[in-house]
Amino acid sequence: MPELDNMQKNEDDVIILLRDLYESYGFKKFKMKTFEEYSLYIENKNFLSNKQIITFTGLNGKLLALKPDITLSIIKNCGAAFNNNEKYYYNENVYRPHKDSYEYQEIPQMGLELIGNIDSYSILETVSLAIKTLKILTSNYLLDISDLDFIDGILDTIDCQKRVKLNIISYIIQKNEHDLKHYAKESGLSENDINLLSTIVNLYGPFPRTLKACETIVKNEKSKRALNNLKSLYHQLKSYGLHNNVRLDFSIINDLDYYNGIIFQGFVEQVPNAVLSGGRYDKMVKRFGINADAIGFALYIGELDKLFQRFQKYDIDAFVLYKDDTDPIKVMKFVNSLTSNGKSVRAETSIPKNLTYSKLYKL
Amino acid sequence: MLNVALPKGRLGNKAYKLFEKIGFDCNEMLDDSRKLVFENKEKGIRYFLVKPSDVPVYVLHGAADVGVVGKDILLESNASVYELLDLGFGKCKICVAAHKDFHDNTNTTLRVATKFLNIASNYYNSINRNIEIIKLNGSIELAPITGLSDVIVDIVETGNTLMENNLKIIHEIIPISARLIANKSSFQFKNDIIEKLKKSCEEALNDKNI
Repeated sequence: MPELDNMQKNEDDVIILLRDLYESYGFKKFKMKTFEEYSLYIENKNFLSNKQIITFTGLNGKLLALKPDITLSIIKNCGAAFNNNEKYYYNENVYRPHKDSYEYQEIPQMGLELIGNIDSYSILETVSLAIKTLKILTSNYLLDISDLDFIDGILDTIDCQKRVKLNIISYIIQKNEHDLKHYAKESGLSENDINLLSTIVNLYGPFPRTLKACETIVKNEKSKRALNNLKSLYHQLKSYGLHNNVRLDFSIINDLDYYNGIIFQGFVEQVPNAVLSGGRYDKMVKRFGINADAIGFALYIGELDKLFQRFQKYDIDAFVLYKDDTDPIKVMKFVNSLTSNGKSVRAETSIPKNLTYSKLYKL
Repeated sequence: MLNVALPKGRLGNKAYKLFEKIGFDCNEMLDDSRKLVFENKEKGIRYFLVKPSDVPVYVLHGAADVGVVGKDILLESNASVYELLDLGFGKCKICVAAHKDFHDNTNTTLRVATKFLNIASNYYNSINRNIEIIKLNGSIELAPITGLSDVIVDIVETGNTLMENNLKIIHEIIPISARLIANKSSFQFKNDIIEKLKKSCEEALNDKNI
């Protein structure tokens, strides 16, 4: 796989490398319309990370939306089934409110979806592509992996209301052991269950060590099966040398009404939040009446600014100052001699006020 | 290098004393100066002193890897960070309080004065009570006395201020104390030192309790 030095790399280079990577694994590009019917989002609103959507009335009177998400449109239009796999990648902008400013933002996103019959190979391929995606960005990356059925299975063994379970999940997401213990006690959970939950909150780290810790707490078939899936995925990744930067982290939890099975999040150093997120969403596909399973991930291109920000001292390398009567051929020749050495050059008769350059040439 | 955001003031001083005790000392902190950043290169730690309500902001954006902040501020900010440890100090409660003769008339919209907008609205949502929130920035106790609001939602430490102003606690919403929080990405890349910090804090706090 081609790897660029971080100093030279920018967003455009990354997009080209990722496109080539996804196409080499047979993913077709999905080009989306700018507008989608609002009803698609409102029927699946909990699938979206943010429920605020820009809407307007189309010319035929239908309520339309500026797309806040790509996955839903791919599911709706893919025509996949168990005997008919569909593989798509996309590079699109989505429109969501920015988390800090109170305004909508255009957020560039790249990702891929595989819908149809999801077997161990499809999972391995998707997770490998997620790792390769992060690797293209930087060598300092980590992919956290979990299996939702593990947590779901463990929670099935605890006798409590759905509301209590949801609160427990929100504490696990925060890795908040102290409040979880307090809440579990208040909700009347047994001492054993409370200890079990505190163990889960602290399960994080390299696979071999963390898997061992998990084995002591698996209770039912569901969680046992999930753990075995994680174990075999790790061994498969190991046989391809892709296991060094993966971690097991049970605090990654998404809405259990849509997602199931494997789930993962990618981090790169210097970016304060996850830059990649993905997993299995069979339950979501079934909601569309499609008889198939699905897996995919998205890369938040907009979050990568910090990674590619480099200290640039000058706007250009060279400024060529020539006089009104200088022969244009002479100027052109001189400029060409600089550009052929990889320099960025501007040639003008006066120096613009706010321009900075490394070297000045007078002709 | 581990970057730690500490709240300026009493809570920050207590937090620093704890970190000092477990080996993350930084002598510069003890000097009386106007500096905002303190560094101990040898121990690999750098402290920032920031406004308490800004601690979650520094941690969320990764300018600080970890921070110490009151649970009240954490609940208000709703920041997506890991909450690793209850440090046990800075204890108080967020309560609903009202004039001592107050009678709750569930027939009307309740006027609530507070600076904790999220905590107040979440609490009243959870009991399906219709309220009107009046945002204040200080001297919240004055609101029910002057008739600005029916009740207040505020931090109560000893209850003395309430008593002196003829107010009483109607309901305790949530207990508050200082929490150790971490940025989600830093937690991954600086896991060893953050886990060590958490564990040492835990041990030091247990020690004190004995």
